[in-house]
Order: sequence, then C-alpha cells, then structure tokens
Amino acid sequence: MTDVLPRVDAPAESPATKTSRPWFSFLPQYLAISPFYILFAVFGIYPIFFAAYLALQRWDGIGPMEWAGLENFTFLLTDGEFWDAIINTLVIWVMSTVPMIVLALLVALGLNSAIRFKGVYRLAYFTPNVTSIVAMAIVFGSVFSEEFGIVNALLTAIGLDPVGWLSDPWGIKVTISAMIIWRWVGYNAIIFLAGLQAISPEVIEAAKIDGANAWQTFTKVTLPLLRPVLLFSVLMSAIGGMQVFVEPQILVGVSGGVENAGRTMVLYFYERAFQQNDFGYGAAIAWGIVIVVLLFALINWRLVQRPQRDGAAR
Amino acid sequence: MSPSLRVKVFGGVLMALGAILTIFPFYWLVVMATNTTADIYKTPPKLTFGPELVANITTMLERIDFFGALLNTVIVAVVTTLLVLFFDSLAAFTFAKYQFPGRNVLFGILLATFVIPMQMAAIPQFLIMAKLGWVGDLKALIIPAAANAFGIFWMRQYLSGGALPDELLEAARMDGCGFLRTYWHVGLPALRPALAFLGIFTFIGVWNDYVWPLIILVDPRHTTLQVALSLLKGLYSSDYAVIMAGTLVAVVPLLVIFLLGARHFIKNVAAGAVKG
Amino acid sequence: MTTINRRRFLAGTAAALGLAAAGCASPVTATPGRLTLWYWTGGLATTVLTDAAARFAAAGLEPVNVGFDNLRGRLLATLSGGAYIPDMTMLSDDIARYFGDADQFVDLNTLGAARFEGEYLPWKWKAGTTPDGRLMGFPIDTGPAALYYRADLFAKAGLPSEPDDVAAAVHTWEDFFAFGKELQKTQPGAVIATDSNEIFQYALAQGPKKYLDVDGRYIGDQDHVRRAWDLGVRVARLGLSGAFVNSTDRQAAWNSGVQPAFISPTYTSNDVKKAAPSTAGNWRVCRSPGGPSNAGGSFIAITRYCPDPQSAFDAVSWILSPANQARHYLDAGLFPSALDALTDPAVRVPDSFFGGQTVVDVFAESARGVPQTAFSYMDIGIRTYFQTEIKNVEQAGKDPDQAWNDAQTLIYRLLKQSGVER
Repeated sequence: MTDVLPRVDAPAESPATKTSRPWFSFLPQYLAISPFYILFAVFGIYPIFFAAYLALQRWDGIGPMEWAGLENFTFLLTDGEFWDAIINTLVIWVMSTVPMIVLALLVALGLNSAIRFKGVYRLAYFTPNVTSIVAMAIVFGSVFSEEFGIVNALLTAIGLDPVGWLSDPWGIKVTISAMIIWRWVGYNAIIFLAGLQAISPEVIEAAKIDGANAWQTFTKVTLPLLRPVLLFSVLMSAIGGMQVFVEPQILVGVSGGVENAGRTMVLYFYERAFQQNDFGYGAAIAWGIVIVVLLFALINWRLVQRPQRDGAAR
Repeated sequence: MSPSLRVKVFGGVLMALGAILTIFPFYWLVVMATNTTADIYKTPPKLTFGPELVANITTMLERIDFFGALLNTVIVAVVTTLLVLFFDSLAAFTFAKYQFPGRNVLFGILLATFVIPMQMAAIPQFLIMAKLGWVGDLKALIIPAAANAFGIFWMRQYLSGGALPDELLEAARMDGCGFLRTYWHVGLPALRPALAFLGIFTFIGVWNDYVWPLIILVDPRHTTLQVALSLLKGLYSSDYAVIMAGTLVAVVPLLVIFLLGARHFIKNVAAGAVKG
Repeated sequence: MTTINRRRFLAGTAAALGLAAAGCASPVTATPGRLTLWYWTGGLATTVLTDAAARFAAAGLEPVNVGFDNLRGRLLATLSGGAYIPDMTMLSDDIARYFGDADQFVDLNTLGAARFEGEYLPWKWKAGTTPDGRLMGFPIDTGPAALYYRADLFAKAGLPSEPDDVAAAVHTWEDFFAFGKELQKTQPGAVIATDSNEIFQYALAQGPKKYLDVDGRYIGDQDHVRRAWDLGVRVARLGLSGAFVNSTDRQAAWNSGVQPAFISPTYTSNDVKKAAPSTAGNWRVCRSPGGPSNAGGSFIAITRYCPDPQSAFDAVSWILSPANQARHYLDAGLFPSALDALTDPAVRVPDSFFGGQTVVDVFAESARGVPQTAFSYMDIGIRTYFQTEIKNVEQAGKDPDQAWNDAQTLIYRLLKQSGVER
C-alpha cells in the first residue's frame, strides 16, 4: 500500500541503482530536479534569511533598522495573543476539515453512483473553488449577516433563534469554517471521485458475493482502498489550514472580530507587521508559525504512519 | 419502494440540495452582477437576475483595461502552467524512478518547504526583483512559480503508486533510451492524468492569485485581471455591481477550462496511488 | 543601540547570492522621465486628473490608479526596495504612520507651500505636518461628521425635526441619549448609534487629544479617552446602539427605520442614498452631539526620489487648488479642505434626498470647528485594542472595567515592544 508520505523506496530494477558510481554520473538526475531547488534558493532562501535577520531588528518597513537582539522572541513567548491565535487556527482547522472531508466523500460517492446530470453536479460543486475568494467573502458577509442575512431568515422561519454569526465568538469560527468547507468540498470530492473510479468494480463485486452489505463494503473495502487519497487531502488541508487568513480578514476584519475569535496565526502576523508597522516582530511571529506548522505536520505524520505500521506487522 | 431505491432517491435529493447550497453564493454573485449597486444594497436584497449586466460590464470596461489585463493573465497562466508541468513532472519522474546520492535528503528539503509561510516573503522578494530589474514585469510572476513542491510531491506519489511499472523503464533502457528520452516516451505518457489535474489547478491558482501580483505589478501597462479588478474598489464606497460583473467575466474562462479538462483526469488521476 | 544600514545589508546579501548583476537594476522612480502620481479609485476626481495631465504634460505628469487596498503594500515595497518609487503618492488619514520616515518625503515647505497655508482648514494642514514641522502631505479632502436623522420619524414621535431644533435638543451626548430614549417611547427598538465604537470614536475625535501627546508619550489611559469610552459603553447599555456587525445590517436598518439617527462623515450620504432610496426626502443632517469632529480625508505627498520636486509641487498645488477642490466634490464627492470651496455656490446646492436641505453648510460648519489634534504613528495600532475591547463589552457582555484594563495592558505591551515611553 502506498502512503502519501515519503518513504525510502528503491525499486529493485531501477535503471540507476546498480553499484556505487561517482556522483557526476548522476548529473542528468541532478539537472532534472534542479529547477525547483534553484528557484527556491533564489526566491525562497533569501526571504528566509531576511526574516531571520529581521526578527532580530525593530523595523517599521521603511526607515533604518534598529538592533533588538532576542527581544522579539522573548516577547513572542509571553504573548498571550499569539497563543490564542494558535488555538484559533487549530480550532478552525478541525471545525472545517472534518466536515469537509466527510462531505467531500459523500459528494464523491454520489458522483460515482448511477446518478443523472453528473457533469452538471461536477461543475456545480466545483464553482466555489474557481471563484475569486475576495468576491465570495463579500457574498458570505451578507448571507450570514445578523438581522437580515438569509441564514438567520431561514432559522427564524423554522422557529429557531437567530445566531450571531459575526458577533459571537463561536459564530465567527463557524462562519469562517463554513466558508472554508464551501470552498474546498468540491475540490476534495473530485480527488476522492478519481480515487473511487480507480477501484475496480470486481473488488466490490467480490465483497458483495462474500455476503457483505453496502455499509460493510464501504467500510471494509472502499475506505481502506481510498486511504492514500484521504491522507493526501488531510495533509493538504493541514498545510492550507495553518495559513488561513483571507476569510477572517474580510468577514470580521484584521483583528478577528469579537474576542479576536477569528484571529488566526497569519492574520496576527499581518496585523502586527502591516497594520502596526512592526516588521521585526512580524518576522518573529512568522518563525513562530513555522515551528507550529512543523510540530503540527510531525504529529500528523505520526498519526498517519501508525496504522500503516500496524498493518505491515500483521 | 425497495430499500435500495429509497437510498437512491434519498441520495439524489441530498446531492441536489448540496449542489444548490454550493452554487448559491455563486448564484448571488450573478444576481449582483446583473443588478445595479442600489438594488444590491436594498433590503431585502433582490434575489433575481436583473437587466444591468451589459451596463455593468460596460462601466467596468471603461474603468479598467480589462482586455489588456486578460491578455497578460492568459500569458502568465499558460506559460507558468506549461513550465510547472514540465519541471515538476521531470523532477517527480526522477525522484520516483531513479536512485542517486542524496535523493532522500533532497526530497525531505522539498517537503520542508511546505511549512514555510511565504506571507513574510513579499518585501524581500520585491527587493530581489528590484535587483534583477523585474519589477512590474510579468517575469516576476512566472519565474518564481515555474516549479513547485506541491506538483513534484503529488506526481511523485502518483508514479510511486504503480502508475509506471519498472519493467517499462527496463524495456526503454534495453532499447537504448537515454534519461531524457525515457522521461519523454515513458514517464510523461504515464503521467498524463496527473498532468491534467496539476495543470488545471495550477492554471486556476495563477489566474486568481492577487497578493503577490498586487505588490510587484506596479506598471499599469502590465497588470493581471485580479490586479485590475482590485482597482475598482474605492476608499469610502464601492460600486459592487461593477466589481461583481468583472469577477463574473473573469471566472467564466476557468469554468470552461474545468469543463473541458475534467474528463481527462477524473477517471485516472488517483489510479496510481490507489493501486499501489 | 546599533543602527544598521539596511540597504548595505540588503545589497551585501543580494550580491552574495549573485543577484546584483550589473546593468539590469530597476529604475528608482516608477516611470523615469515622467512624474508618476499614485491615486486610488474615487480618491481624486478623474476630470481634474485629466485636465492636470494635459496642463502639466511638459513636466510629464502621469496619474496612475494603484487601488486603495494596494497602495500601502506597494509603497512599503518600493521604498524599501529603492525601485519603482512613485514621484507623488496619495496617503489616506493614516498619514501619521509615515511620520517616523518623514525623510523619505519632501518637506513641502521647502517648495513654497507656506504661501497656500491660509487657503486651507488649519487643522487639516496641521494633520499633514510632522511633529517637527515638516509638511508631508498636501490636503485633499476631509470627512467632517454630522448627525444624520430621519425628520419624518422624529416628527412622528412628537420630537423636534428641523435641523436647528434637533441640533439644540441634542447639544450634549447626554441630551442625545435622552432624546433617543424619548424616541423609543413611540418607536420601540429604534437605535441612534451603529455600535459602541461609533460613539467612542466620534466622542474622542471631538477633543484635541488622542493616544500620544506631541512629545510622543502615551496618554491613552487618561480621562479624555476614558470619557469617550464610557459614552460608547453607555449607548449600548441604554439599548440605543444597533450593534450592527456589518454594512448589510446597517443598511437594512436605514431602510426599515430601525436606525433613524447616526453620526457619520459627509461621504456616508452616498451609501444612504444607495441603500435606502425609498427614504428619499426624509433625511436631514445637523450638528453632531458633543461638537464637530472629522473621520477620514487624504493627502498627496512627494517622495524624496522625485527628480523634479518643484514641478511635482506645482502640479499638486494646482490639482488641489480651492477651485479644483470644488470639482473634486462635485465629480467625486470628496469634501473640500480649502476654505473657499466650502462657500463656493457651485458646491452649496440643496439636496433633494435631504428634503432640499443644503447639507454642505452643515458639514462645512463641522469642518471649520474640528479641533487640531496631535496624530501619531501609533494611533492605528492602539485604536485596534480599544475597538476590540469595546466590541467585547457590547457583543460578548464583558465587564467594561475589565475590558478597559485589558485594553490598557495590551497597549502597554505594544508600547514597550515599540519602544514608546509612557
């Protein structure tokens, strides 16, 4: 079973695995992979060094820099606002990713069944992903608006109380999550759909002949076969989820609304650097974000790896 | 009604409901684009199409150089996509099918770049572009984006998943194919569905990108659609009907491309990964 | 403390990366040989810009729309990159953010700006001047505030409805709140403020002091801020605030009559006209409770990289001359900062949406009475904390004293981090 994460695999018969050869005999391979590394060296590494240097300075973005030593980092460690932003980011990630994956799977199953108008559905579910996010945030703002938004109108119509979608700390998180879900369900559904279509019908048939019902077939056969694709989606949404920024910015403003409920890590960075002119501290926050994302990725990786190792041991 | 039929009907209704929910914000975008800004502001807002689309588009065309921006966007999106497809597939093919010293370390570095938030990079990247003399030039958008970690990672997974049996490579070697020819005649065909997928999403991403273009495209003659559309906003108030009309016109090409391209990749895109 | 020459550092690292290839560096100004002026949609009247481009064609004046949202990011990038810097640029009411880097801009006094000073509102002129007296921004427009109200609804409640009568009835903030309670007797649920923050901001803007004093020391924990804060808290406690979370709710409230009164700058009238066309003829404006204040308004600055600052200044002072200020108002709704434009008969036209009232006179009176205020580069950063905390009081029911203390604690941290004394 293939995993989405890197593994040390050396195909036994690969053309170039024979014996120890001098490194330059691999020149074609190095050249083939070089474009990414060259571009990263030029446009990626310099900004990283710059951010490292900047984090030790006080700088308003224009004038001369002033040496600040580790001040920005010690400040960061005791900055409750940053810790809150980390928690907000993680909470919004869970609130958006879990429903998104489930919904995307349902949509993929629907698209994979003998349903009519498949092409229409595919396009319908995909439109959010291609539409400019800025324009969509304006639309969402009015859909979820407190007294006159359509969502609250519907709630009132069925006898429920209206919700403060943009004025309640949890309402803000739900609204931001809803926007992320809305944007990414179609994208992931299409990846899942591709995964479903790759499962040969014979495997499903065989399960049915063995007496498995639809639910058993789904959980015992389909899901395990979809695992790599699912993991891919989770990993990608983890990376994307750690960088959420445009949705809260447009829905509730740079400070993240009431109790800063919508203030994500990147939004906090943006507020400090561009709003409060503190690029030195902004750079320190950027480093903080890197560390959080690294830890998060490592935890994800461990969780994702374990079931596979168990499987291999069996 | 038999149970399976019931499931089908229920599923069909759910699918339709979901689709309506999904499409609603987009529908509203169209409503806004076809009405006047005053209609949009009204409460309750108008929920039906109006007759103002042509007028809004005309106003939009008067205010910004839409076609110039469209041409630039097409150039940037097409060139970037082609470069990404070539460089990423070549690197992915190499990582998946060849053993060479430092391979795993290099791939690890590639993965590590995922976690770097590039928001911080805007100003230093501008400094680099200034040194290179690329400020205001479309090159500043295309070159840095010409190869990316996501595409290499994604296609390497696809190939490692069994989309390209090693026997084929062996056969190519027997025929005396060099590295590049093996890539071109064996690797690339095997990658076709993955290329379609990556191509479409790269194209969409470049088309809608605005954070970096807003900063670097300082020359009004070299501007992309998203930058041009952002000019429509004012400080005190904005003509939303015109902005939405522009957004709508800018999104149509993407929907067409998706319609044309979707068939090509949906069938096989994850095949390799799943079969593995 | 060591001050490092940033450009040298940048040049050094760039060279180390092999980037400083000779001969292909970007030009320093946006369009060499021409005078580029950055503006945003609606920031200057296009009719005036077209005329200016023709008039100053020899000097190469080239107005370029960069969009409001993009201007600051681009300006920071170009200034720190030393390339593609505009010769002239608009700056919004956040101009004080650039005071620390005043050396990046030309002191307009060195180009003879002083002879124009008497033609403009004194507080506006001062708002573009740095604490050490450099004139950084030439005045474009202003945002004098007034009370917008529905005369028909006031009359229905048996309350004064003519502008002078209403102004007299709501002279102080307390009068205003009492008036609102009176209104609610016949119109339950009617609100006279958008949210706590609106009252807080305008009450603070009516006084001469803000968050930092002229010497750059923090004064945001003093009485003048606390008084404005308390008024903001009170309007919510009295049930007189709508606590609207976005413009959709606010506009709906204008339409339905839920918000028959609010304090806002002159430019909000465009939004009211668009949002509530059915209420045309029923609105009026009068002097704001508590006195005149201002919110918003922009400037044009000339960067020090401009090769021909005198020509640039000639163009700027022409574009923003009193005669052209009237055109900016008529063509783009930008409220003048030039005294003569405020009394220009072409500007002083009755507005049928406001029942034929000459609203310009009300706003002009407000504009003349705006207090001179010491703005600082920290204002926006500090204001954010007050805004968030007062929102917490209004929307999440937080204890006002706790919220005030939390705001101060966070601001002290910010100040310490930024090296500001208090």
